[in-house]
Amino acid sequence: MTLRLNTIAGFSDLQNSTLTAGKRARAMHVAMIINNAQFGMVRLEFFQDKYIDGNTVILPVSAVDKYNYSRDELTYFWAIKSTQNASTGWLTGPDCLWYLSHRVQQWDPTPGADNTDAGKVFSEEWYRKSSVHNPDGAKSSDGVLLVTTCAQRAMSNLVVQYTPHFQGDLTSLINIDDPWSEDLARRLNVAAKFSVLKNEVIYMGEFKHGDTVPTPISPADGYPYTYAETQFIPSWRWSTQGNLYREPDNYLGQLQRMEMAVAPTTGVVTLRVDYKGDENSQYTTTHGRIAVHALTTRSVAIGPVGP
Amino acid sequence: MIKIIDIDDVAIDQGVISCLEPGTLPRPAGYAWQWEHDAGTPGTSCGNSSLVTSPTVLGTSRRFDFSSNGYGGERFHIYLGLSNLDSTSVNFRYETMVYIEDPTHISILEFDLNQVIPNGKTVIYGMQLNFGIGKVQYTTNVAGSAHWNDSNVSCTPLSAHAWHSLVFQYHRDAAGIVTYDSIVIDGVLSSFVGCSGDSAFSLGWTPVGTLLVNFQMDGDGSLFSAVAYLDGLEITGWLTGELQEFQEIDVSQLFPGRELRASIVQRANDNILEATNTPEVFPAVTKTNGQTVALPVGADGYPYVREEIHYVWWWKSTGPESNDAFGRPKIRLPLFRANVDQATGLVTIVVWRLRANAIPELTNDGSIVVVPIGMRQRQIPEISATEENPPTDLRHADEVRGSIVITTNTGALSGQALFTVPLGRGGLYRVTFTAKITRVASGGSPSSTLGGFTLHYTDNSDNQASVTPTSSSSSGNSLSTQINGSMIVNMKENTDVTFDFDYASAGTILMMYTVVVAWDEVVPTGGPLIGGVRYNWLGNYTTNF
Repeated sequence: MTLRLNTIAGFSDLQNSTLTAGKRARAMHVAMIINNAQFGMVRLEFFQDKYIDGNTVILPVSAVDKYNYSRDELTYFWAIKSTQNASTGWLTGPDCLWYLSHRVQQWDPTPGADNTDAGKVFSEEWYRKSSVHNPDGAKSSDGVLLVTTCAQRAMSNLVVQYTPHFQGDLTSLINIDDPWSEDLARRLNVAAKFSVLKNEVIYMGEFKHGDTVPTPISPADGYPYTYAETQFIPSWRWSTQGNLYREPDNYLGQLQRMEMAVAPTTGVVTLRVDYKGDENSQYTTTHGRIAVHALTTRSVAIGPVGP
Repeated sequence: MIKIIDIDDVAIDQGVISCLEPGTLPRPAGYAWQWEHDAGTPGTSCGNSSLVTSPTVLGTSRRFDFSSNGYGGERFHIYLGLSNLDSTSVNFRYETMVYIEDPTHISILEFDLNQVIPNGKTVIYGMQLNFGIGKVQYTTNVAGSAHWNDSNVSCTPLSAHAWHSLVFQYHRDAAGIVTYDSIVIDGVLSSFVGCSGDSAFSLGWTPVGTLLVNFQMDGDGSLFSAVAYLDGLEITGWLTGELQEFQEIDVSQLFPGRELRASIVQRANDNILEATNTPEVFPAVTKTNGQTVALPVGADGYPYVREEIHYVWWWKSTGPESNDAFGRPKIRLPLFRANVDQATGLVTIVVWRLRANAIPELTNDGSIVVVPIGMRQRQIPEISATEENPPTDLRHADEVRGSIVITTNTGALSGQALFTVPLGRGGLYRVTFTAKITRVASGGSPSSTLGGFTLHYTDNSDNQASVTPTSSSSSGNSLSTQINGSMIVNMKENTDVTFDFDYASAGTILMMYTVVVAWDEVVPTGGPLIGGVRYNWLGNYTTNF
């Protein structure tokens, strides 16, 4: 059954110290735990669509509870769905691709940062003919990107004081005639907060061949993720030299192959861009630059209840 | 747990479109909609059903045409097939959206699920909205016959030309005692009270686990016709305690002084577990063109459906480059694209290449990495594929050509396969052969006859199986003996081309030979203008150098 929620839940960092034996079970605290679980159900949502150069990624609305996301709750990764011109369905320039650059402008959380372009899509694709005698390229705004918008509620201001851990199924602690106890209340509280942070998407920045993407750290509770808990999602930023966006050397010729990988266990970036020059010459380079997001999943091994 | 979605979208309909209908049809081998008059209703009826795209909520709905006289009811049903057998689930939910063009004369809408349980009986989970008496009714077995009982829940006629959502939920015990739990009409939940009874029938259905879904309309006694549509029809079945779903808790029922019910705490616990599993990120998989991303199963056994999966993907590589007919890697990148079909998980990768002195050609080189992300209880919209639109006269870009080499041969060849003329590529082809003795005949009275060569094809001008004149042969018996030839013939598309090669030899050691046959498409000149560059069909990329 498709999930529909009548209320938009918020998050409360309810401390376990308030859930103590001998104290009344306060309705407010139970409601906070319930709301946190509901918040956890929708805290991270994904929206995918096709975009071209000059578009701005739409501000999504949750189909579950009609929550309207704001720009500072969004981060974007993209894939080259097609290099074609979206209108003509074919290439705009002559002959073959030469080099490419794609980007969706991320939100900059730095105080005072200019975020006018946040969510804007840029696509620049260059074509050229073969042979060193045809060095002039033709610039185009071809390209159709599949943009995945990661919407994380309270992305920049969610604060959880103590790292929560998974508590497992607590059914055995729920008694018909005595449904509430300190231990159960605390574990439900921690488990609900864990559900909020179990998956996060963290923008890691841009990288080139040979760089190492570090392990991410949760901005919410400072939890240091391991590589085993991290799925890196790379997006091509550009295909030419990694440290400087400029046209490839003339002799290299036209684009032949693009290849990228981020090693899951080490974060090491491997990029390969091949060019086809004149005659039988082929050049393999480590050109390219990628933007990387970390899609994290915390271990569901049962952990301590904590403070 | 079993979840069968989009039942309304099953494309096959096997009902009889006539009035009166000839009774119940034999059960189909597969998954198909059928319909017939319900003999348990007075009067007459007839029906028809088809897939339509309007009106719809999810892209495709099923239309049900119904004519009735004298309270006649028409039953539409679908047997869910051997792939959806389920005898173990004891809880079920029947969920659908219904749209009626004119409900004036429809007195009853019935929504049933039938299940053959392990004791061999068929449990009928029967529910109907009886607008005539304003009650939701449920089925039980009274003296071997289905009996409709009034529930405590009222209903009013559904408005015309509007989608209405309906959710029925019920459970049974091992003997087939069914308890009807709740109904949700347009988002309003009503719980049934005391709606329970034996609903197992000895119908003799097999095999155990059979599931069958019914939708029925009954008339109000007048002579009339009506049209209804179902969309989003799905059945979910589960064992007690197995259903994994988030259900919103109304926190307004929590206030000071009120007792905290265990059921709320249990629901909170279950919701936390569901929220913990949402989203669920599955391991990255590398896929090439034509492969399918498998539908994942949750760590807790949750059975995802495609609508609940986001496919996040990126290019792993646009290579390696495939080879052309001569074993050379195809080169350069005019254009590339990829797609993962939301509805099927099918991966499509297209990488165009441009060889020197040629025109762009399509390959399926490359691979992508896909990370499936499960979002429970969501309906993720599909994103259409982006397909390129090459100039229409690029269809000859991928020239048909190749060769075959047969060595150490000591006999004639008959019906030797060469190639198949591709669809849409009928026309002139050049076939060239050469044969040479590689071992002379010797001993006894040695002799050799090499050839001739005969081509078999279907002619493009008259569609007749045709044979070229047999080439000359050679009776030489030396290592320098060879024959060769070339021919151009007009071949029909989508036909096979073969050849015969004659041979004769005598002696204690027979003659051995090698034959090489090559073919290529003879294409017309005068190619397309692409990006300001004139191509020609013979492959000269004229302004390239």
